[in-house]
Amino acid sequence: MKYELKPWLPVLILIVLLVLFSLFFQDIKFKIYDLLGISDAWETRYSLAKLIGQHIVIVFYSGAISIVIGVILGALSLSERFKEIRILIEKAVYLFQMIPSLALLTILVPIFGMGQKTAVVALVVCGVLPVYMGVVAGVNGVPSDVIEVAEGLGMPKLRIYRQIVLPLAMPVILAGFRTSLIINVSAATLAAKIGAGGLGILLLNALKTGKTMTIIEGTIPICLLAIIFDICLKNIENIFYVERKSSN
Amino acid sequence: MIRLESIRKDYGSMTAVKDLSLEIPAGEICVLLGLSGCGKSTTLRMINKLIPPSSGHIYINGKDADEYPVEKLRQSMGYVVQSIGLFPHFTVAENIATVPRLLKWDNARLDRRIREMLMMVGLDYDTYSKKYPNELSGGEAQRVGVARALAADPPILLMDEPFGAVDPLSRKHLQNEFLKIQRELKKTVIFVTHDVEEAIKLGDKIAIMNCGELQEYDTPEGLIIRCKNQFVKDFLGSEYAIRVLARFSAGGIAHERDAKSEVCVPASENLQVALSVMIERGSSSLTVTSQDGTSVGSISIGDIVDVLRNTEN
Repeated sequence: MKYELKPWLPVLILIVLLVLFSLFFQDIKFKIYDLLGISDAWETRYSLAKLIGQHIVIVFYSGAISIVIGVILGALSLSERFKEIRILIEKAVYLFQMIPSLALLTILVPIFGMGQKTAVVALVVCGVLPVYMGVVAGVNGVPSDVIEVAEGLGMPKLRIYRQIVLPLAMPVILAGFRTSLIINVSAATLAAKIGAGGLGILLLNALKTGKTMTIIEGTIPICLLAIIFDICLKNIENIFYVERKSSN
Repeated sequence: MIRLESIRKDYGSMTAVKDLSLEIPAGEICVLLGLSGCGKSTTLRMINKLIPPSSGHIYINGKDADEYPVEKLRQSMGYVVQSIGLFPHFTVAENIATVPRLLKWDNARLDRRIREMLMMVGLDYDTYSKKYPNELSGGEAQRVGVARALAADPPILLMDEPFGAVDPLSRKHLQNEFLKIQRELKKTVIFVTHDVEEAIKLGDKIAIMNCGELQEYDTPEGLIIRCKNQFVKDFLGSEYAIRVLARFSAGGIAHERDAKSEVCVPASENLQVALSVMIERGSSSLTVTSQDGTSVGSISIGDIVDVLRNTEN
């Protein structure tokens, strides 16, 4: 089967946009300030590229850990052996999701200290639920008659999971990953509050100085990042659908 | 041969199947007939161990089913269900290859078998083998379901209302084709249905169940002559005898006396049709003709009336 590269074109364009933005936006901003005669004395010069890099790193770690934990919890609550504690796992995951991220950060700082590590822990707590839900909904969504027939035809359990359940649940599981990552991209702005860096620094700064340009400077890359992650994962999801549709 | 010995299945305080004993001879179609919830599907699933019986034994070829490894046992039984359950992410060919793959057939043999199976169920290899289940009609999908069940040539075939979800016309086609296939393959078939007509048409023997209990187990004709059970009589309906006529061909009972009647019926037609023709044309006898139109004998209304008793004795 020939794989289409076309769906990845928007990703490329968006990455180029992001790079251009991080290279040139500050110069443009200061030019505008000069033009309007606004003092930029309070304006600190940040390397936008570095902030974006920090942001991505935080999202990457928290996303990866969320996925691992979410998948493990999902698998546990689906397995026969842990059926009794399924409700416990579920409630715990939901409960953690309900804690506001800001409150979570404040709770975690005394335990883990300031910095990136704490931010990642907080984001993982936020990011686990969508992953968990994706796994559970995906696996439960596999038609039971399909599984019954697979069993009835004498497929071993493990093979049923590998060849039937997993491929059929995959699109929903990946949708969970996607939701989790996107939540993390925006929630990662709060990381700045505890000295973990990232694009949130710009937003916090803008809150203090009241400068609209700085807000724009922080928000646009965050949105671009979210969209890039979204399209990437959507494309991966589609691979699983395309396989089922192509008939020739 | 399959033998069930006082099989019982309890769900809590509810008993789904009550002390059921049944013997199904090799190469025959045994129809489990009954209303929804009478335990017929449960019985079927106990045979391939999807449901463990609460008590009792199942013997397959004289050996207790518990002595077989469960996966090997299931691989030796084709399984077809009403919802078909084709794997939606597998092509038609891959679906059919399911059990042969488990048995580690090599590719050349597998490919040959897929072609064979598709031909048997009347689907064109080039058109269908690469299609996905969502591109098939209900009838086509069930053909693939049957092909998948028979792919590894299992001696036993379990069918749970396999034609229940397709439209009446396709159902008739599927039944006819299934009978044709069965005449060739001679599988031991257990066929669950709630449709009396289907049971008459397909069953070598019919087991009628009610509330988890076996009511009567006999040939379709025997159910008329020997059955004393009131439930069975009510369930089959008072026109049951006429329906059973569909099992006999006109050619099968034609007498070689000179056929005087001008009303003709082909030898391959069944007696239900023959009777209908008699009524329609107001004639009490018919000339039975072979394919080329020559007379092979005649049947009278009396022959039809006596047909069940003659064949049973």
